[in-house]
Amino acid sequence: MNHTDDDIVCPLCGTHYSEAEGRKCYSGCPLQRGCQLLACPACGYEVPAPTRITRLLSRWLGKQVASR
Amino acid sequence: MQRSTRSYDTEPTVVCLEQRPSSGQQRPRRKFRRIALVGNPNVGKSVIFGALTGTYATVSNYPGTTVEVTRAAARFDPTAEIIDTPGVNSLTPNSEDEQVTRDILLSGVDLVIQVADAKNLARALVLSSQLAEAALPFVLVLNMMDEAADHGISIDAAALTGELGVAVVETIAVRGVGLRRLNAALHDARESHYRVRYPATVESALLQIQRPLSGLEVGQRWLALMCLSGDDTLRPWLERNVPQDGRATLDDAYRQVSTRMGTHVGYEVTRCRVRSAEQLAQRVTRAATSEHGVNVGQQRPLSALALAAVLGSLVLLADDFGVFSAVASPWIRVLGWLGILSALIAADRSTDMRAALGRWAGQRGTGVVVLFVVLYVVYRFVGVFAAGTAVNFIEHTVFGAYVNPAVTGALDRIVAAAALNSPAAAAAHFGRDLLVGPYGLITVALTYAFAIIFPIVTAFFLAFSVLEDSGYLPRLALIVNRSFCAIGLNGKAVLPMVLGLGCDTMATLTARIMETPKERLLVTLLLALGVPCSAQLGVILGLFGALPVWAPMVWGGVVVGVLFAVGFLAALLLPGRRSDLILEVPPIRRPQLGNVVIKTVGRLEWYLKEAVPIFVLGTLALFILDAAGLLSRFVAATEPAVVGMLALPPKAAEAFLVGFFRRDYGSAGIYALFERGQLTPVQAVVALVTMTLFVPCVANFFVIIRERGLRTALAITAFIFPFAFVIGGLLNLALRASGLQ
Repeated sequence: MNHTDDDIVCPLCGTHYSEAEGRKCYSGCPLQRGCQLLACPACGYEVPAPTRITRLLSRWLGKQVASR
Repeated sequence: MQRSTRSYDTEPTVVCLEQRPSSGQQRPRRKFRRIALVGNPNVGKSVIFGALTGTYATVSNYPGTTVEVTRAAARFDPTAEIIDTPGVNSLTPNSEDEQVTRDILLSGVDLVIQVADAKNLARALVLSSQLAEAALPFVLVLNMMDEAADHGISIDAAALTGELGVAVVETIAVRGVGLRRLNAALHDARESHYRVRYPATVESALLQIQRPLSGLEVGQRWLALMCLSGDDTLRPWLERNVPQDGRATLDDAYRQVSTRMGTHVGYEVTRCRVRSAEQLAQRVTRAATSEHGVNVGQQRPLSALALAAVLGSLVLLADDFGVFSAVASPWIRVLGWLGILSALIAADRSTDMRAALGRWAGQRGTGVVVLFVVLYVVYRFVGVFAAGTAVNFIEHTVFGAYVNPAVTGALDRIVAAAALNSPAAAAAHFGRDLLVGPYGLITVALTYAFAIIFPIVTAFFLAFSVLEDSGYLPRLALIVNRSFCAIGLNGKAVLPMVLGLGCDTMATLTARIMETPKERLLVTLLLALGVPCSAQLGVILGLFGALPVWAPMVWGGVVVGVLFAVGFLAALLLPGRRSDLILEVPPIRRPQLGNVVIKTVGRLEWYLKEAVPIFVLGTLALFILDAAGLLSRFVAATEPAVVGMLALPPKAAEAFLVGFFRRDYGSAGIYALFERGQLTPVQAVVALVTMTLFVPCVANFFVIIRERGLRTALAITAFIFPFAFVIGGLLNLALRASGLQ
C-alpha cells in the first residue's frame, strides 16, 4: 500500500485510507449531505474530515516541527 | 535496547527451499491457471497485483455480493489469471469480504501469493496457518520491509522459511524492490507443513470428520475446522460437494465438540491460531521493543511506577469522598498527582514503560485498573478543571457580564425608541424576546452552546484525541469485548458500541456488520438506549465536577447495569452465532501534540457545524411553544412523570423536551438548572440517568428509520422513553431510601 502524508490513519484499527475511501459510507447514509465525518473502511470508526482550518493548521504545525 | 540498523535501500533477499538452479540446469517452469493474491487489509496487495499484471484489469462484483474483485492476466504468463481478493484477517469468514476470499480459494486456485505487512507478522501468520491447513501451495511476501526496518523490526526470513516450509520473499512493493525475485519464487511455491495444535477434543474430532471430506480437492483440515467452528456460510458449498450422510457426520461432530468444550469452538480455534502465530513471529523476529519484550530486570521499577499511578488515583478518589482531614488533604492531593504524573512521565520517556502499559491495558484484570486510572484522570481534567474553571469564566464573565447585558441593552434601547403600539414596537419586542428572552437564541441557545458545552467538549475532545493518538482505544475495545462475551453477546457488537462513544448515529450504521437481523436490531437498541456520545459524555463529565463524588459512580453503575441487563436478556431471547473480534492492536505511542491539536480542532469544527444549528432549532421550538401558550401545557402534561416519578421541578420538563433533539442539549439544560440551585445532587443524577437513556438525537432517529424501518424505529422509541422514565423513577426511590440528598 502506498501510504501518503494525506492518508488518514484509523485510531481504532490502524488502517490507512484516503479521504475518498472514508466517504464511501455516504452511499448508505441518509445524513450524508453536509456530513463532516469520514468512516474507516475497515472498522467504521469515524473521524472529522480534513477542513480548510485543519489543513492550514497541519501545514503550520508541520513547519514548526521541521524548523526544530 | 538497540535499534536495528538494517537498511532496505538495496534489494532484499528471497529465501526459498531449494537452491535456485544454475543457468546450465534450467528447471521446467510451472504453468498456473489461477493465482490468488491473499492478505490482510492494507498490506499492499493492490501494488503487487499491479506489478504482476500491468494495466488491463477487470473489476466486477463477486456473484451475489457487493464485494469488488479485480482480475487480470499475469505479465509473466498471459494465460494465467491473477485475482486480487479482498483483504481478510481470517479464512473462516466473519464478513462478506472474508467470505468472498474464502469462496475464491474454495473454487480452486493453483497458487496463492500471500502478502504480509512485515511490521505485523503475527497477524499475517494467522492467515498462513489457514493456507497451510487448506493445503494450498503458496509464497509468503513480506512487504513494507522498509517500514519494518524503521520500526526496528528485523525478520529472519530463512528461519521463517524453515518453520513454514514455503518460499519467503521480502519486498518494498511501492519502490518495486523484490518484485523480480517474487516472480522467480512463484515457481518454488509449495504446500506448507506448518500446523497449529488445537485442544485434544478438537484434534480427535478433526480425525473423525476428515473422513467424510476425503476425496475433495480442498484441504480437509481447513474444511473440517470451518465445520467445527460452526461456519454457516460454508453450508451451500457442503451441500454441493458432500453427500448427505457426510454432512450429518459433520453436524454431529460440531454438536459433540461444542457440548464437550462448553465454549464456542470457533473462538478456541482462533485463539490457538493467534497464539501459535504470535509464538512463531517471536521466534523469527528481532524487535527493538515489543509489547512482550520487556526485560525481566526492568519489570520491578515499571510495576512500581504503575502501582504509584493506581495508588495516586485511589488516594485522590478517597480525598474526593472526604476521607482525609482538611489539613492533610492538600498534601494528600499533591502526593496523589505525583503518583500519576511519575507514571505518565515514565511512559513519555521510556519505551519499556509504554510497552508495559500497552500490555497491562489490554489484559484481563490489569486492563480494568488502567481503565479506572484513565477515567479518573479524564474526569478530573474535563469535569473539575474545564467545567469548574473554564465554564465559570465564559458563562459568568464573558456571557453573563458582557455579551448578554450588551445585547439586551442594545435591544432595550431599540424597543424604547420605537413608538408605543406601533408595528415597529411590536417587531422590536418580538425580536428582543426571540434573541434575549427566557427562550432567546442568544441567552439560551448560544449561551448553552458556547458558554457551557464548548469549553467542556473542547477539554473532552482534547482528552479523547490523546487517548486516540496513544493507541489506547483498541485496548479499550478488547476489555469491552471480554465484558460483552461474558453476557453472551456477539464479539462483533463491541465495535459499534465503542464507535457509539464518538457518535451514536454513525455507530448505528456500522451495526450492519452484525450477521443476523436480530443482532443488528439488538445493537441498534443498545446504542440508542445507553451509549452516550462524545458530546453528551463531555457535558455529563462537566456536571460531575460540581456534583458529589458518588454521583459519577451511581450514573455509571446504572447506565452500564441497564446496558448489560438489556443485553443479557436480549441475548437470551435472540441467540446468534458468536463471532470473534479481530483487531490489530498497535503499540502504545507517545501522543504527538500536533496530531492532538489538529484532531481536537477538527472535532470542534464538526461539533459547532452539527450541534449549534440543532440547539437553535430546539430553542426556537421552545420559543414558539411558549409564545403559543403550549409550553405550559406540555409542562403540565409531563408533570406526573417529571414531578411525580422523578421528583424533579416542573422546569426540568423543558430540558427533557430539548433532549428529544439532542441529549447533550438536554444535559446542558440540566447543568444550567443545577448551577442555578434548582436541582439537588440526587435530582441532577436522576435527571442525567433518565436523559442518558433517551434516544441520542433526531439524526439518530432518522438513521434508525433508514436502517431498520419506520415501524422498528417507532417501536424502539416507544420502548426507550417510558423505560428511561421508569429507571429514573426507580433510581430516585433508591437514592432517597439510602438517605442521599
